[in-house]
Amino acid sequence: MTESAPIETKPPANVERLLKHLMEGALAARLVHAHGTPERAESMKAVLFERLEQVRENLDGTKD
Amino acid sequence: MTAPRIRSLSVKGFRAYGAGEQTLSLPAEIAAVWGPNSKGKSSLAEAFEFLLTGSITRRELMASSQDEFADALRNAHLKDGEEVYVAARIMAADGSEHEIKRVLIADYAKRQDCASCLEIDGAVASEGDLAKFGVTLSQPPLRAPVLAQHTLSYIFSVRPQERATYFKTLLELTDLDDLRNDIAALEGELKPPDDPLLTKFDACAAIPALKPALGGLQRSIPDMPAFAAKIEDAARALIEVAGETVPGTLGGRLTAIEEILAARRSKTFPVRGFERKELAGWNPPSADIWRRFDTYLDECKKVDDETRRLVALFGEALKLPAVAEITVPIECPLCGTESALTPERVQLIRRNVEDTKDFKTAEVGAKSALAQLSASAETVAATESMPRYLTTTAAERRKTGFTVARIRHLLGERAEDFVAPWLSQSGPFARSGIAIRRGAHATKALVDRRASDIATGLDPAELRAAFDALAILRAAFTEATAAYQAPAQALSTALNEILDAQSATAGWQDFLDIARQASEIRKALIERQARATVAKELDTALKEIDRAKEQVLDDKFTDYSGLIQAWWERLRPDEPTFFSAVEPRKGAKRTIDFKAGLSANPDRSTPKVRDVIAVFSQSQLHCLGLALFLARAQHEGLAFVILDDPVLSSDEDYRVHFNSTVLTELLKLPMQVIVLTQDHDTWEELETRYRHLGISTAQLYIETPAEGSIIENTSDALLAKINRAKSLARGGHPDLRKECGIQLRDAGERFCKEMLVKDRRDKGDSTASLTDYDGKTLEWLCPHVDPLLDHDASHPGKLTVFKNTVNRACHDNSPPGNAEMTQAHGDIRFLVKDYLGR
Repeated sequence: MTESAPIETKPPANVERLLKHLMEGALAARLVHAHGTPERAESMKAVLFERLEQVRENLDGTKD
Repeated sequence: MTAPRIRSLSVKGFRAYGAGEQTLSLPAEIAAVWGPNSKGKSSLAEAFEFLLTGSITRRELMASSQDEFADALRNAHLKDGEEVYVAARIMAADGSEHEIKRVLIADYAKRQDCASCLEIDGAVASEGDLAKFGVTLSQPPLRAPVLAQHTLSYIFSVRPQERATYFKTLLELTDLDDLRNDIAALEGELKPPDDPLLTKFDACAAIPALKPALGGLQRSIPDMPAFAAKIEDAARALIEVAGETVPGTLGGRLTAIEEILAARRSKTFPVRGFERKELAGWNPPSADIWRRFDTYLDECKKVDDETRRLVALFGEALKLPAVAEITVPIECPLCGTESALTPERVQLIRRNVEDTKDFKTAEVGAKSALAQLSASAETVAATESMPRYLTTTAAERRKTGFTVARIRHLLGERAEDFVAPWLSQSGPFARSGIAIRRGAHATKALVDRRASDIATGLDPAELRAAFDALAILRAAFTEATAAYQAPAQALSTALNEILDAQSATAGWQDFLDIARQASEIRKALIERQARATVAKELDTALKEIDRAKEQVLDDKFTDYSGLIQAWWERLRPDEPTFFSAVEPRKGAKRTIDFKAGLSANPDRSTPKVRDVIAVFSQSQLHCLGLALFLARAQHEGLAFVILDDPVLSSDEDYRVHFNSTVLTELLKLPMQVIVLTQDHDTWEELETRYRHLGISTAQLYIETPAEGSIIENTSDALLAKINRAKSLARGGHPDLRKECGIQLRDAGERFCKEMLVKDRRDKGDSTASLTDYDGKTLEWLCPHVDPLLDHDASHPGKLTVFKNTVNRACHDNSPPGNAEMTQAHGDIRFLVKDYLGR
């Protein structure tokens, strides 16, 4: 243990750490990504409404 | 350069520092400042603190003795009116230089904080402005990057619950909390649609007869044909419940339900009396109509009455081939006169007809306009928009049972809630309806009269006035209709509910409403289910984020533990008792524990884990405090740290590691390091070890209390020794004079060695080095240097007397007195200045 441990660079941001614990492509991860964009409110709504439209289409039988 | 650097610090009147501004130069990445006890070292560290935060943590942390810090910042010997400040030159990340200055306005009082004013480049600023240069502060109470003895012990002297403050930046996931809240707010976008159709559908699905067909549709929505079939099944079920014959089509079934419903309701009350049609649109006559009348009247003036009267006859005559095509005179077909109708006369008739062509066009237009006016007057009354009960007589209403008393009886206790608003609007609505009907009737009669004799009776002004009046009546009627609608609808609905309940047809009306809009209700059901599905997914996403947040916190503690461990290992490598982890206590996230590993084996295997407070020695706790401070500084990316006596003087072992490994790693980060030490050996070692980095060194001493601490910026070991001896020379105790003698002897030896090296180099020996004279004492050195002291004949003698004095000081039980020691100091200082120019 005489060797000094490597110096760590700047620790990752909380959001980056959070994303590591979320399934990629899942709604949670997509919303977190959208939150990081400049137009966060609109971006998050876009993610949500896109998912809503998918579900609508599935229920309507217009899309498998 | 990516991080800010302090290039100098100036202090005036602050704590141990007097009226003369003292400046510490910090040109390098590392600086070492040596000062014996009580010479201004801690004041210098606190000057950094005060500059950055406007306070000193020593007072904050010693809560019980805050009163005792009254008047602590201003130097006690300072004259009234003297300014007290700390200032620094900062090189920002972009390479630009700025002056940060904090002026003390009011010192600490017994129960009062101090007051100060921060200036950046001469302008008043706030602490937040420091961030512009990349200077960031940590969380209170240890905000400034200054390590002092009291801050080292702070973290272990507070309760575990209070340690959270020290780790606030670690514990805080504010950005993730905000993110989570922003995402949770999206739930508002997924509220179930507020659609009356859905309310009706749900009511229908709860009706026992309809439940088998409709109940499942709330959960599983089939395609449109299957959905329509379910509606048909539901319609069938209602009719079967009523015991009637079920028609084959949905339309037929709905009509049958409607009839059954109306019949059942009417058995109790003639509710159809409320039925009415929506008020159709009506617009006043257009400008084109009035223009056509004007055109007609203009054309009338151009044609005489006789021609106008006969023109129709002429037109008819010319349609006869026997007349139109004659070439010789013929008998007049009108009066029978022989040869009366000549080709010339037919030509004249043709010209007359041609001349009245525009008149005839205008006449057709005017008649068409009158027809339009007549139609407009007929439709303006919109009698079908009146409810039936208002188009029948009172006697007829009584006969069918449509009475207010009956309505009140049916509605019971709720009657006045509906009847009073309805009646208040029904009267004006009825009167307005009568007025518009009368006005419309009169206007139509007027228009029709004028149309029957357009040649003499057309008066556009009269018609325009009549329609203007009609438009006013229509506007009033429209307004009355609008006011009537809501209370009448409310009354009708309430009445129907009661009638339906009494006639076992509750919900039938709702079913009729939704069954006629099967496509729309299916769409609404899909929308509701889609929103519910995504709302559930969003809820799941939030739970996943919450779980991930917990994991982020654990990760951060793991990382942080790793950082602390790394600094610990640099300070105390290979010890069997070691720092293990810093962690939030299970079930109490804001309680922080420090764990130590105790291993009986050299490789630290199978360690027992205990709380450090219980098992660490004072030295180990001190070391852990330093590791914590450095880990926090690294974690927060601090640009510089000020370390005030970071190593206990009794801890020789880990002083070595600090001077070498720890400082080297800090510089690698990169982090500017300013070390304040009372240990002269440490100071010298640092000067030697980091000479390649251009380490800046300085010494602190006090000549007179009134003058206060003096900062002497120097990397010169020779001058350092002389300066240190200066303060010792006045010491009353023999031991101090003895120490003074040792310092002066070292300084004298160094002087002699430098003189010899200088001489050799002046003579061309570039390899000459101080180490060439290692182990040589004054006894050997002085005779070799004497020939070089040629500025004055007295100089060799000065050196000899100096040598004798310091030798006595070093070896005799009774060292020379103050005067002799002061003289020896003055002599060597003189020789250094005169021969070495320093």
